[in-house]
Amino acid sequence: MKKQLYVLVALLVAATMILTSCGAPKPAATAAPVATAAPAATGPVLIRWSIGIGTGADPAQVTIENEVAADFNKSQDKIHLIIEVIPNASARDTISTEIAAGAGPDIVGPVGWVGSNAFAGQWLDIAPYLAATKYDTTKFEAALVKSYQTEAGTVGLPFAVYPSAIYYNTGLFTEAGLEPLPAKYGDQYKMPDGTMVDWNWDNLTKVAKLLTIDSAGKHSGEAGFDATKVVQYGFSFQWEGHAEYWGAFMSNGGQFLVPGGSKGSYAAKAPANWVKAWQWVYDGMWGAEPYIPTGAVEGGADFDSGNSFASGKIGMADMPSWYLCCVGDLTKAGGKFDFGAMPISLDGKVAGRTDADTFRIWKGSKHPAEAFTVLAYLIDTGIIKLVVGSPERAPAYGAVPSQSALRGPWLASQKANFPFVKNWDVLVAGLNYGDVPSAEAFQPNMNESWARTGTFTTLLQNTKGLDLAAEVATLESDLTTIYNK
Amino acid sequence: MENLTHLPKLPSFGSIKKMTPIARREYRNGMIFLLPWFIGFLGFVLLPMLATLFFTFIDLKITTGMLTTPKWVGLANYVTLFKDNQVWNARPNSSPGALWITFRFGIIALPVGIFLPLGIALLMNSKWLKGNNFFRSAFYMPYIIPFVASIFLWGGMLNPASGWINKALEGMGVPHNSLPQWANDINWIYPTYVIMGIWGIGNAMLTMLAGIQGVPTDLYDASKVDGAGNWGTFWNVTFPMISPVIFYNLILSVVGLFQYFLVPLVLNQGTGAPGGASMFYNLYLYKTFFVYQNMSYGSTLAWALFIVILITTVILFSTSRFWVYYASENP
Repeated sequence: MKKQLYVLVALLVAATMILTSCGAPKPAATAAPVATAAPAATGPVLIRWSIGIGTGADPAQVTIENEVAADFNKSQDKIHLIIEVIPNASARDTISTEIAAGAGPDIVGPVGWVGSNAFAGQWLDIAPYLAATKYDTTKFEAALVKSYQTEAGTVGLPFAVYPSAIYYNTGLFTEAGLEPLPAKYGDQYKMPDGTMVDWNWDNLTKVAKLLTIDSAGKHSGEAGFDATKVVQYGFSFQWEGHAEYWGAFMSNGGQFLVPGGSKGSYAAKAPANWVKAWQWVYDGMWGAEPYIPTGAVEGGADFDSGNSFASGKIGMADMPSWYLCCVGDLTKAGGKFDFGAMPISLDGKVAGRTDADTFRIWKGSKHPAEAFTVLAYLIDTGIIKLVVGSPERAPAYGAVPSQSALRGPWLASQKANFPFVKNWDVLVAGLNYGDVPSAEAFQPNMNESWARTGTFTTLLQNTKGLDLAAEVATLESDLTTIYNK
Repeated sequence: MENLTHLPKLPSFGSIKKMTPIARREYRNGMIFLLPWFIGFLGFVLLPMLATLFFTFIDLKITTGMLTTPKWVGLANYVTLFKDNQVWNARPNSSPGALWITFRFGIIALPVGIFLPLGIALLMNSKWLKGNNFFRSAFYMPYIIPFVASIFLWGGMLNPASGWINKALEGMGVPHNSLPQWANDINWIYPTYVIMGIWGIGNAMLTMLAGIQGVPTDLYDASKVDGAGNWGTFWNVTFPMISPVIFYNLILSVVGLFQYFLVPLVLNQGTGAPGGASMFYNLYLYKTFFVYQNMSYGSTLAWALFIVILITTVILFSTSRFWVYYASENP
């Protein structure tokens, strides 16, 4: 009986091993960019474009994306492009499952660095296709092209970029008797007492406190100010509510991953300026003289359930250009805003932060050449409806086009939508001040690493009296564990 | 185990040969009827279980694992588990570990999940209560609503901004700044989950009510004769007599506690927010499998959960002889 049991267990284990070794087919080699011949009987090659891991799943955006797919299908007859829209919250799970089943989408995007890095190693090196089609990359800034050249090859082309700036509520500034923010990087700021000061985080804090008002009309730091009855705050990172963004915004980029490791020896270490940035944010939320709303306050109805700048009760918000999508509540209520330069970072240099979205081709695509044809179409032609837009019709994504030649029409479109904004130049100038390394730079086991820092973020946003140094040490330890899992 | 000796044994191969043709045919037919279950058990229970056990010894990612051959890593996943702060961290005022969250929630949820249905069942059994049938139906009705739908309902009611509960509290004079943020607040999240859980106590209430109604009335008569009051009657008669039902509900609640998943997944989007307070063990396990794509570590977490539930259940069963009264064992 024992012998039979051993045989049974051995058979089951063998079956298990066979099952685990089966699965998706090996990815297509990227060396030979030969178009897949579509069998005449089956018609054009089907290319699946997966949308949702980044922006793009909003119904208004889907309408435009459908138009772009239809335009592409009309433009030729060898490839049929279909879009697959997945809600953002479930996009990673869905794509993981599809890839695991060997049925990943041919093209994914628009997707930023975090979303892409969650699937590190899964993206096709398009360099052979660029060479084979003699694709002209000189239309992009060299730095943007370079940003997509990784250890895995060229994994994308510049498409949409999102420079950051300080969005400030001009009405609240006027009410508080404050001067407009610097409209050029490196310019000084005129404080209420007339002194000219460097536009850095210390001075931003002073301005933010003047804009933080309690129900009796007193500002943060003023005698008699009641920190429990704040009705208006001076500053928020709002939807850039992630500790890695906070660190990058305030200290010119940075990363947790200590360079030079490999699996088993990876290590995480928070840059010193990131820790200072987190302390600044934490003091802003929980200190005696606050200037940033806590997580619970910002999520409340008074602050537009998280879209706090649009509530009209936030003086300044540090956000990328994609936030133009969502300031409607502010402008509908008669509010106005403008852009100011990002403050000088904690390391003393003029700094900014730039997000970037593009399209990726899955390494396992059975039709990589056709997928590249679609990708090139989206980058060169689809971009008009997706990013540039027109004065009559806003684009799908609130981004700045990566091709400088398209920025004129893009600007015309934006000016038509927001005629009161004066400082568009400072927003575009933000492209010169990207965070290096990006806040969204690769980390091993990216999904879990990013989620762990997200937990740290919400802990800071929702817990008074934290021992921040101990929490940072725990975070570093956890990230080190996660990197080596 | 000696109680099981009376159960029929499977015949050996040798004894099958010695069977009469009719007995052999009956045996064969019996096996054919059992075969679908065996196939299902092997294919959908035993093999996946063994597969996950095997996964714990290799390095398998849901995506990269399919493109590369997984490596044998021995006990590395178990070593990681024992060092994983996201499972064990119990330091106050910090992001709690998933197992600690589960225990902490259990300390509040288990007593409520056991004693509240018991109390309501006692009320339902009271001779003074009018409209028993209505109340029984009313308490049971929420149980038949699909669980996810009820979470969405509660999510709406407890929405700090638009939920009617906060609007009612504000109407009663609670200052706006003091309104609870419910599932968005690290201090309110577990009470919020417990409040939501109360909605589903109908089943436990019904089983306890059935237990109470099954207590022989002559025992109550005897206790009255002995001069017992209401508490004495409850403690010395009702409680021992329904203790098997309480024990049954306790086991189900403990297993349910370790598998607590849907509420934090739906209400807090499975992010663990606020501050990791909703990252229950089972949610962490699920995320490790399907979001972090780490099949091997997910399997290790699953086996650890299996062992923890097994040990807890064994401990509960071993304590049962001190407080659970089985009439059949005590003639």
